[in-house]
Parts: sequence; C-alpha cells; structure tokens
Amino acid sequence: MLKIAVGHSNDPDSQAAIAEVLEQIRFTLEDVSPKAGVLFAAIDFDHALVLHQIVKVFPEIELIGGTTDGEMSSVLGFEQDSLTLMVFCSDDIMISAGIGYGVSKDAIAASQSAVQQAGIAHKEEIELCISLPESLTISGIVILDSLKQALGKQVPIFGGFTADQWRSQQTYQFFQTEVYSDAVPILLFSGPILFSHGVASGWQPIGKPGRVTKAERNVVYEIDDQPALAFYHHYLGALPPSSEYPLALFDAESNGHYMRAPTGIYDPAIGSVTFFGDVPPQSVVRISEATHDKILSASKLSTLQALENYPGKAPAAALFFSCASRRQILGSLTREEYKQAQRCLSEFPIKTLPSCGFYTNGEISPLQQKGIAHLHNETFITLLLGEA
Amino acid sequence: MSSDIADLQMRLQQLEKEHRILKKKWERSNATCLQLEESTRKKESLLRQIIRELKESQATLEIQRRELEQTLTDLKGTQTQLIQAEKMSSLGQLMAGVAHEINNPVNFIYANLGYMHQYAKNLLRLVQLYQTHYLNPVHEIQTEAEEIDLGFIQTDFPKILDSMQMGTDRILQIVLSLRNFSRTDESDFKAVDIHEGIDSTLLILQHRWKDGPDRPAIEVTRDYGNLPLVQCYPSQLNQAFMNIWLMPLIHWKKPVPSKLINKPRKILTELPSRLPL
Repeated sequence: MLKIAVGHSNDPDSQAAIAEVLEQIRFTLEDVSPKAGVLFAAIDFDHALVLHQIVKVFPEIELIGGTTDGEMSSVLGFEQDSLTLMVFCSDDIMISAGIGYGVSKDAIAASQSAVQQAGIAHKEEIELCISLPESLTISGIVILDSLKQALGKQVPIFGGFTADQWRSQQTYQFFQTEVYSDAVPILLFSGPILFSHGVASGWQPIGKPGRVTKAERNVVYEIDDQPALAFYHHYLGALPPSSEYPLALFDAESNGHYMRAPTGIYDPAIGSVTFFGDVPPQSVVRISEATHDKILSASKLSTLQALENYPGKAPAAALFFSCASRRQILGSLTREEYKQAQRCLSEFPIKTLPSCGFYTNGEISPLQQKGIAHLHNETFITLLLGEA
Repeated sequence: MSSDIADLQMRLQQLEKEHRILKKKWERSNATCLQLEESTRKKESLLRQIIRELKESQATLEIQRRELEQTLTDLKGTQTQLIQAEKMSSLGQLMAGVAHEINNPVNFIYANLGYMHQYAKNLLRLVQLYQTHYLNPVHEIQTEAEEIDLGFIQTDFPKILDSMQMGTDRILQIVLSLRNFSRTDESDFKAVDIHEGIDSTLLILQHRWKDGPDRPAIEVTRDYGNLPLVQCYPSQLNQAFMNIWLMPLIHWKKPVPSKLINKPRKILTELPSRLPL
C-alpha cells in the first residue's frame, strides 16, 4: 500500500523549518522509512542545509525538489516563503530519482543522463515520471522534448518548472543533498502505481490578433514586423511583459489555442521577449487575461477531472502544480485555490487527503489521461496518486 | 524550577519562531504590495487599451454597416438596370428580326422605283407627243382626259414618285441602322467603326429627341475624334450605347416650374481615350 506523508513549515529559519517538517513526517509515518520524496522550497532558504537534514534523517530516500513561487499542502494550506516535503512509502511500487545538468548546453544529454540514472533500479516498465526542471535558461519545450525522447513518448510526465518568486534571475533544482541550477531532476515510478490528472486554465484571449514574424525557439523578436516588446507595450503601457498576460497561440488545425507566458526576461534594445515555451514563427497570437472567478473555476475543474478519471477506489495523495501567474492575479485569494481543490478531494472517504504542491514557471502534463506530455502555462494541474 | 525554565525556554522559542514568521510575512507583504501596484497599473493599461480597441471595432463595424447598406442599394439599382437591359436586349433582337423581314420587300420596291420613274417619264412624254401632234382627239379621249384631270396627273405624278423615292430611302436608312445596331448577321468579334455604331443607335432613338407633351426636345451634338477601327463585339457595344442613353432619356422630363432658373441640362457621354477592349 502506498503511504504518503506531508510536512510543511512557514518558519523562515532553514534549520527550524526542516526540523519541523521532518517532525511532522515522522509523526505520520511512525517507524516507516520513506522510499522517495519531493521537496518544494521558497527561494530564500539554505537549500543545501535543508537537503542534508532530510537525507540525514532518511538516508535511503530518493529525493528531488526545486524552488518555487509559493507552496501548498494539506498541513498549512497555501503559504509563501515556506518549505514542504511529501514522502512516499510502498513495498511494491519502485520509485527512484535521477538528475541531468547543463540543460541549456545539451538538453538531450542531460535528460538521458537523468533517465539512465533513475532507470537502473527499475525492472518493470516505467509508469510515471515527475520532473521539476529549470525554467529560465532554456525553452521548456526543449527540456520536455528531450525528456520524452529519453523516456519514450508513452511515459506520462507531470511536474512543474522551478521558480524564483518572480525575480527572473535564477531557479534551483535539488537532487539528494545537492543544489543545482540549469538541471532536470526526475522521479520515476514503476509497479502497481495508480494515477489520474486534471488540467485547466481560465485564461481567455482579449486583444487584437497579431502574427509572429520573427522568432527563434522561445524568444520572440517581432510581431507584425514590429518589436515584440511594442506589442506588449501597446496593452501594458511602459510596464514590462509578465506571465499574467500570456499570448494565446492559435492552432490553425484544431481551431483551438494554447498559452505561452513571458518569463519576465526581455531585451529593451532589440525589443525581444522571452517565453517559457517555444513560439513558432507565423503563429497568430493574442494577448490574454484572466479574472479571479475564471481562475478559481478552472482549478476546481482540474481537480474534478482528476477525481472523475481516477482508476482506483480512492487516491492516497494529490500533487498540485499551479502557474505562478495564477498566484500573482489571485493575490490573497490564492488560499481559495488550494482550499477549493482540497474541498473537492475531501468528498472522498479519506478525511484529509495528503496533498502538496507549488506555484511554477510552467506546468507539465498530458492532455488526455496517460497521454503524451505537454508544456502548459497558466494552468492548474491536479495529479492523484495511489496503489492498485 | 528547572521545569519553569524549560517552559520559559519553549515559550521563548515559540515567540522567536512567531517573530521570524511575522518579520518574513511583513517583508513579503511589502513586496506583494509593490507587485500588486504594478499589477493594477498593468490591468488599468490593458483595460484602457481594450476599451479603445472596442471603440475602434464599433466604428469599423458602423462603417461596414453603412457600406453594406450602400452596396444593397447599389445592388437593387443594378438589378433594376439589368432587368431594363434585358428588356432592351430582347427588344433589340425583335427590332433586328423586323428589320430583316422588312429589308427584302423594301429593296424590292426600291429597286423597281427607278424603272417606275423611267416608265412614267416615257409615258408622260408620249402623252405630250400625242397632245402636240393630235390637237383634236376624238370625243371619247377628250372626255376621259377631262374626267381623270390629265393635266394635274402630268404635273403631280413625277412629284409622287419623288416623294416615294424619298420615303423608301428613309425606310432603307432605318432598316440599315437597325441591322447595323443589332449586327446579328455578322461575326461576334471584329474590327468596326465605333462612330457608325453610335450613329445607328442615335437614329433608333431619334423619336426621343423630339419635343413631347412631358419632355423638352434634345439637340444631339456629335463631337467625334479620329478613331481607327476597333476590335470589339459591335452588337454588344451598340447595346451598351443604347443602355447608356436610354436611362437618362426615360427620366428626361420637363422641369417642374419653379422660381429657380432653369439651366440647360445635358446628357454627356464621354468615352475614355483608352478603352479596355
């Protein structure tokens, strides 16, 4: 049986915070030793200290993690500047961690290295991958494509890109006791794991359409033959582009659209704007916005989708990956996003389902259950986990 | 005592933790405040721009609505004109048929009129000779000559023949114009003198130039340039001339008497120097 425990502390002191988190987990698990764990930490903590403390208490843990724009859990709800750890215990489910670094130089090699490292321990086919990759040094699409290539497209990937509280400077990824930047840590699951997910956004296109006339991967140089920055300034005045106002990219084939959010990195000299994912040249784009109501409705929808599709009797835990822009727009209402999701989950026979999550710089999940993974922006992803 | 100290230490630790959390939350709330202010400015700017774009869209829609209304009115006008043109085209074909049918009998009359003129002259000259050499004809001839008023016939007969000649000439001219106008007996695309087509069409519309009970007379002024033969569909071109003139002619009414000075009105047909043929 999959047993999951969660610890969460909002103490800004790293030593005190991790001590509190580990105490909560030990209280839940009693003497059971966790097999693996996922750590979500605010940017200002002494991450190396935190990781060492975890590994010191649970020496056999397979641990990954990353920095965030906000954290949430079934212990404290939504918090900022906090630390939350979810650990997994199971006799039958195999869980292992791996990391690849230098993704901006060679994303394929980094992803292969991570998959190879984590894959050694598995005798059965990989059922699920959770990843927390770098978001600022390279297009998220490149990392995701590399992961898909290394894992095989049939393996569903979930997760979120690490964040740095809107500073657009540097994000960190964790593997065991090490703190990395420009890296891709993964957790692989095999055996009788059950899971389902939901994904929803709430953003709607609002501005006039424009055509991307010059772009290279995730950097857009020109829209309608004018600097991309001018397209944003047209709507936001002199203020810089930010991820609350993503571009909706219209897909000519499906007649639908998907979002690409600016990273906050832009070049005023040439007018280029960098996005979290690739923006293909000739794409038709419109600036998009969201209201509190639409964002909260989408979060609820995501959780309900995941519940509806859960293949077992009851999930053992939930992981949430929510876009940093949602937190930015929701402000003090961000608490509601988590509460709402938790309320949906409490309808299950379990009193309080252990849950944990973070606010990301981009989300990863398939569109269909167990389908091919996609990079999302502005979404709320619910991942329910359990054992068959 | 030691338990009190331990208790105090625990409370102190708890207070220190709360102090750290509060300090962090205070820093965070300051940062959040700045972020929110920027967020609000962005939202305001976006809202202003979207309202501006909505107004532009509304204005564009209004222009498009007016254009559509105008197009609809134009289409209705074109439809009326097309119906009229179709009527005229049928009428033109009818005229061409009538002209073709009239052409043969008129030619028959025209061809014989010359002989008739010659025979009449000969006969009248013979009668004159008789009158010169037989001063006292028999009673019966003298009576008949008085009964038929031979003297008048001798004077009037050449005049009647001249009048017939003139009438036949005019019928032939009209038939020629009708045929020239319709050109049903010719190949579709050929080199023609456009002036000839204009003249034929004007002749067919000749009855319209005259003064009528409800319309003033029209004076036609031809101001032709030097045009070479032009490769075209002559029948269709003549039909076009007809349509150009017919609509204003239909509406050519006597001006309603008013205190305003009645200026001379004009139907001006100008052809561009380079026709897209």
